[in-house]
Amino acid sequence: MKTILLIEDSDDIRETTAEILEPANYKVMSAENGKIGVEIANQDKPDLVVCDIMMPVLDGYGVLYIFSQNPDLQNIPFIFLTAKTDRSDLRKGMDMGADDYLTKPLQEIELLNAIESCLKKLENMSNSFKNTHESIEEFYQKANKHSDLSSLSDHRKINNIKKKHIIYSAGDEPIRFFFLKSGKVKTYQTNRDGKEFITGLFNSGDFFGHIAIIENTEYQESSEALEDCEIIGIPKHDFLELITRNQSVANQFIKMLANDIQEKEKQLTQIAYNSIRKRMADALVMLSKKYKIANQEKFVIKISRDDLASVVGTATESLIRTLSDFKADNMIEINGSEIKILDERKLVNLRG
Amino acid sequence: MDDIIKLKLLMASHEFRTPLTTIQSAACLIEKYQKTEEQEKRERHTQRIKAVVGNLTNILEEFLSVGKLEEGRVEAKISIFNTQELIEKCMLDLKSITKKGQKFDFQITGNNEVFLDKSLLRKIIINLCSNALKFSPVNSTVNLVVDNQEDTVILKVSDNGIGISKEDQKHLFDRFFRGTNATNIQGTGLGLHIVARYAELLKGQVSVESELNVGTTFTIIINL
Repeated sequence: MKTILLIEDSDDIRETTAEILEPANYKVMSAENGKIGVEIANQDKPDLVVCDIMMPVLDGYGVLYIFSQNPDLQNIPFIFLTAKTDRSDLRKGMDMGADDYLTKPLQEIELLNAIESCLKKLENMSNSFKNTHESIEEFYQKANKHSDLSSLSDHRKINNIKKKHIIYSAGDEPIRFFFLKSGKVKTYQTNRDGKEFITGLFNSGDFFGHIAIIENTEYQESSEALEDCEIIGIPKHDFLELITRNQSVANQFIKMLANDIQEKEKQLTQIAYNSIRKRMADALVMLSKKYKIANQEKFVIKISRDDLASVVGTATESLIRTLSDFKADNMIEINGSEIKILDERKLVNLRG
Repeated sequence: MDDIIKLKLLMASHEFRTPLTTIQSAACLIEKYQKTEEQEKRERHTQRIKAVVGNLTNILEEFLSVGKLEEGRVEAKISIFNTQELIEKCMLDLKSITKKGQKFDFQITGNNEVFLDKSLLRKIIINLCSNALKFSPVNSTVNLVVDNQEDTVILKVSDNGIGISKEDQKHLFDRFFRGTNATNIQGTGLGLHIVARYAELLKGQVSVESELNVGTTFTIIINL
């Protein structure tokens, strides 16, 4: 049940409004002025706020300002319900970031509709912007299940790619994009000194190489098999046609791209500001999330030191030193090119 | 013309919208409570509507009083009456707007009978006292002192409310004026204007002493 915080100084309006909202299946918390409203919100985070403007002690603008300054409260949908009907008041309220501005007197249905659409909007937003690895994973799976999208890879020739084999190189003209049926693939960029940085890691069920096609440019990165893979190439033409023809597939790709960008931004910030230990821990956790097989108790991955260094974004020498530190701390076990994560929780804590 | 526009704007504004909202929601709820056992809820909301209509009527009266004053249609009708009785009646009328824990403390000195316009004096008392209640916090006391002498009547209403700034005091009795610290409290900006005009009709003078966040005292001295 969603909780609504109702901030209103008139006893009559507060009580009747609460009585209207409760049968509509909302839990209502009431406050008779802005100050009390803010206190309640801090204590008991509501899902939505309905707030009057003209109130003693702290007015509605003040409440919205406090909400906007508090990271815990700033995303809560905020609806003004007020007798101030001037256009300038409405503009002020909306400019300050209110989600809706309702003027008194109003019909019950107007209020209920406004609340419902605010809550729905928030839900949609949080669905598309969840920036966790799990949700990306889940999304790829969903995309994969999508009939049109998976039909792309149906009945097409499967290519077997050997480990270390280059699938495409930066600067190539993209004629196909790829569906990874099995195996692991990396995409990476190389700078002038030959230093490599991994831009993406893919597991079975993932699509890759689509960005260049969507952007209609040459490949900006190279792609190489980390182990023996089965991949399916999907002609550019088929892909573009599907995207232009089918809005829902296009939407799914847009979301995939948006999530990619957010991941990259996060990675960039980490490289810029985090210590190598933190980045190392993060890379190992990320690999485990990406490649851990169901029911596998301890995650094991076979990855070369060079590849791992270019995931973390550091020189191989520093990487080896950090790996030995981690080993000494009993967080990992190293066996040739195999790394086994012993204490994932510690790594998660370490990455902050 | 300017004033008419202002008046219309105000009519359409906050003072009317808030009670109308209550009536609207209460009516909507009454409609929903259809079962016999929900009679109590229905009654609660009809009571609410009645009370709000009472408030709306008062606001309307204020506007009409100003209209009448403008047209010069208000005259003092002198009669003899008992001030103790008048004040007790006023207290009863004010009961509905008294906040939690608020008290009146009234004191009459001198004669009990006065020779004045009863209705105008009553409106002055109601106006000043309701302001005192409205602008002071819960659990506060409003003092009302009436001193009836042979040639003067002195009326004092004091509260421990939000007070009025020196700057605002200059415009306090202007039509539609609202104190800068009163914008978030309901009101038409007509009450004190009416008080001043009525006092004038009774050949009296209004003065105010106030300090922000300490309190306010209104004094009316009427020469008989």
